[in-house]
Amino acid sequence: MSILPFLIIFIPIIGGLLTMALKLEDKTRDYFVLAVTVITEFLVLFLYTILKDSTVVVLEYSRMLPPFGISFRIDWLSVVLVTIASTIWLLVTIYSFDYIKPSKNINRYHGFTLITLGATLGTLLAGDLVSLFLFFELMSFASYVLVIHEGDPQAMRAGFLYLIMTIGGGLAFLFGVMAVYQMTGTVSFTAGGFLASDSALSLGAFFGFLIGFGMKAGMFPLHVWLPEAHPVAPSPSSALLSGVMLKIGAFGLLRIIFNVYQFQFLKEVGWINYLLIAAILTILLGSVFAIMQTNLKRRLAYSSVAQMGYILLGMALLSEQALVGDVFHIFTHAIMKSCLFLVSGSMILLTGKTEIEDFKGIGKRMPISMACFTMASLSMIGIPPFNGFLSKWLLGLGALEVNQPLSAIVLLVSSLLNAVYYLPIVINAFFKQEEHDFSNITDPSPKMLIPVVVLAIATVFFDIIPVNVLLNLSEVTAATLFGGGLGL
Amino acid sequence: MVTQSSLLPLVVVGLPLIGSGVVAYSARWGSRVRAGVANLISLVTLFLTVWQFILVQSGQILVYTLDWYVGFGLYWQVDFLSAVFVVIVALVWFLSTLFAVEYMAHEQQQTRFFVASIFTLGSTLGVFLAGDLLSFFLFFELMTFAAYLLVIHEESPEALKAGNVYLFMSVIGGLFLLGSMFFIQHIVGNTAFAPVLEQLVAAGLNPWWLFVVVILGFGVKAGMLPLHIWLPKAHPVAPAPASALLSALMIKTGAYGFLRFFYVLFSVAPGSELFYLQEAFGYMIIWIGAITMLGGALMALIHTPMKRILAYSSISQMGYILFSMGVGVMLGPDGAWGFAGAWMHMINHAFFKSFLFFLAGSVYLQTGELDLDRLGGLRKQMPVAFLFFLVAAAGITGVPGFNGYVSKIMIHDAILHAFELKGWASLLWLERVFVFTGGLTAAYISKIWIKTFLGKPQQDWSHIRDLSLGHRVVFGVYTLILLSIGLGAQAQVNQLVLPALGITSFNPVDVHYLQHIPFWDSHELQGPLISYAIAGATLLVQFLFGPYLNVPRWLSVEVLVYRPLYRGAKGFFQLLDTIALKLQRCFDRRHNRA
Repeated sequence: MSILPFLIIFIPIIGGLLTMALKLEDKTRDYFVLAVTVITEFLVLFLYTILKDSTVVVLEYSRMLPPFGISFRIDWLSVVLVTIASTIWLLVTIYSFDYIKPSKNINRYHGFTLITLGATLGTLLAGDLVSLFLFFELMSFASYVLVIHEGDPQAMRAGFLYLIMTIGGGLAFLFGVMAVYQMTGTVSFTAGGFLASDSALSLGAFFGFLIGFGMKAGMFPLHVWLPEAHPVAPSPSSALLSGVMLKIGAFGLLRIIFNVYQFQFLKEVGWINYLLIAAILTILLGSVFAIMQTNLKRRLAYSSVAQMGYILLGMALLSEQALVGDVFHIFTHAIMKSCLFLVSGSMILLTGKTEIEDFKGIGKRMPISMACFTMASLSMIGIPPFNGFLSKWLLGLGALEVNQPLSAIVLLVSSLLNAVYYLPIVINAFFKQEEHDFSNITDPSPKMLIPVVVLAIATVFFDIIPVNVLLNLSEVTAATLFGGGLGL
Repeated sequence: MVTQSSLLPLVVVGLPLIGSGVVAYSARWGSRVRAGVANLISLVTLFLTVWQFILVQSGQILVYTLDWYVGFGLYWQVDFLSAVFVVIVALVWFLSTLFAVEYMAHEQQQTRFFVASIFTLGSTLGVFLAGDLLSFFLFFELMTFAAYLLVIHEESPEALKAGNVYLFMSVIGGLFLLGSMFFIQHIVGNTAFAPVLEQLVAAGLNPWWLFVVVILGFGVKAGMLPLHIWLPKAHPVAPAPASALLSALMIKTGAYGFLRFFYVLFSVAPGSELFYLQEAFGYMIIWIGAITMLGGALMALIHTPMKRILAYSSISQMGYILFSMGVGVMLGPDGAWGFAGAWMHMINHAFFKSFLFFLAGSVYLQTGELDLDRLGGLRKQMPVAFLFFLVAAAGITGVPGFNGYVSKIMIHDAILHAFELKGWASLLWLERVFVFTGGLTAAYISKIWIKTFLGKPQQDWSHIRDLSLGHRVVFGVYTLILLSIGLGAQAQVNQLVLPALGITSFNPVDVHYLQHIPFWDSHELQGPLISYAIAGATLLVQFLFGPYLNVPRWLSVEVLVYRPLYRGAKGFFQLLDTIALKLQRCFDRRHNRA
């Protein structure tokens, strides 16, 4: 069993390398890529059998990469996130086959998507800071190739910005790792944390982590690469970048807050407030900038910034209820945002337009796609009975629980701002007169439509089903992070 | 009262929600099948609500729980208040669907209209049947978004603009409501309809903030001044069957929210220290109601498009309801009269306002015209519509024997009763505002009636036919309802209002009075005469000096408050955006150099 994490990580990475090396025929390659993704998804589900009756399993391989060795930590947080990542990846991969067809360098695209999958899963399963750093950097550099896939000057420029910020963030993270090792002599994650030292070095390390992961999570003011890089990538990659990879930043911070530092300590010395303030600014400014965007994918990208603000806020509150909402929002946002990016991908691919104003009347031509877009948008705003409402409700209650009514008010204000930038897209698409000739445009092929429909149904499904798996998983995750028992 | 777990409320809400999908599917078999299915669903819903009403009338409270919903549970609770109003909703909706079959025949996107209408029916029923705030909020938001499809049905630029104002103001209102729910859930631990004010104040919340939040939360939906600006835009642009539903029923969800909040959630036992709060809240609500009813009536008087007048009239009538509700809240246990007046007027307004909107729709269907200045002389071509309009006008202006009279008498008595108990001179002035507004109501209704049906025809009406048989049947039903409430006033009060008093505990003396209201007393009968005297004077003034009485365009809350706010926010956002762009350019220059 102990080989499982290796399989999960290296099957996609080797699969990706093979995709590029073998130069298979188009159809065979597509089946091969799909097979690798499906196998990975199955292996991920096997993790639940490992975790069946314990809260955490740590696997250490000290022979590899001395002096630290590689280790994996399989607990509810990582299993939950690995599941969402691989599931979204599978759906996006199915979508991407038809989407990427007209493009060049298809082998490179699929190869690096698979490598990024392996690296992402590795980051999530890592059991210590050094392993985490390793996979984190691999993921960042592999996804660079996805960002610049189109190869035009705009993409290269965005890619350059992404690269320098990633390197800067990586260095800050590395500084944090070194400082933690210097202070404690260990880098392995521990339940309840192992660091509670109120020294300048400790604060410096905390800031290092904050910058490294905050950059990845699109935290203000380190978000600047995000609205440049996400829109220029091919839409399936945008969906993965926004839907899954941003969450890695949030995941990293969760590990830092709960498994490196002792969260009680962070609360006592007030360092967590830096994150709280950054989160509130991220929510508000992300939304404001999203309103000002006229380009569809840029607006979605800024919306991701704002939504990551929710997630950062949820962990900065340090309340168990807020953390349930937080983990649930990681799920919810992954579902909603990948749905939105995939639909906008279809719209852009079929019409060749990118501005929101250009999509007037497209809803009547692509009713199913736009209906899915509408559902995801309503979920974003937080209208019941969509998932977004549940996460907002839990986050708001969590904010009040720790006596932070201001944060609850920020959530409400940002819901309004969400409405201001999402509803016009929907209204434009469905009810305005067509300006461009869309007469030969219809909903895309089933391969591109089914993943979108599945995601759209999921935006309402996980609010109204009797046995809410995602909510239960979020509760268990939050409980284990807070050191409580297993209550599934 | 026996609490009884029952699936009935779930079915009442679920049938139209799911049925809307059936309507969409049935469209493939032609428009007649689709209309038939829509009518059948609303009719079955009506029967179910009547069944539910009978059960509740026999002394049961129906409850149902889906406790897995979002981990907090979805609750249905049907007490007398819910049961009565739900029957009215289903009845008016059924009549609207019936009316719509002919009205919508020449419109675009008919399937969408019927689907949205039936879905909105389900969510509106859900609002009235919800057993706690969280469930209330769910259906409230569903209704808001579903009704958007009705508002923008025409898809004209005007309709889309109105739809935007409607949607964003509703979303803002919903967020205020959600904000209050956050605090209630956090402090009380649930959002059930039970008194919570004392707990909230004990937890350190400022009660006046709560008051403002709740007023803003429901005020938008209720068309309360100055949050009303969406209403005269959105209600008239919708097709007539939908305008009727919006104006007659959906704004009542706001009033219903106020009822639940101020009579249950924010009610305080009379001996308590905090009773002064309830009194102050009530007094504020009376004033808000008075301003709303007077403002709405004045604005109705100066406009000429018929449906816009009716929309302003709805604002004014909501003012009546708030006014009376405020009296009841202020007096606490002595406030039975105020509550009864508000409740009766909610019921009456639902009937006569939808009736009036349908009539406007019939006129539009035949003439293609809604502006009073281009109508006239239709009496000869549409004699039946002319008569039905008289009935509806008698209803809204409060002619004895028609339904409006009943609730107006009750509201009038309530404010006088409050003056007797409190002796504040301001209450007497408020009574005068009420009487004066009654006069204005008669004036603008008479204006519609005169300018549409009397006078010289402005166009050639020779091709125009009178109401179709289907519409005659619908209007006949309305006439029966208006007359049965108006003539059987005391019996209807006993049946519809007295059991509703169980919402909170009222003084038995007042309840006893409500069983013997002197509707046919000569003193009370003077009321309508005064109204019509004021109406006559008003119309005379408007006729003589109308051209000189132009109201400047800038004199509206929209221009004075909302637009500067909107521009301010937009300017601020643009400023931030410019700063961000400047920073980005710096980066670009560096990148190009590199």
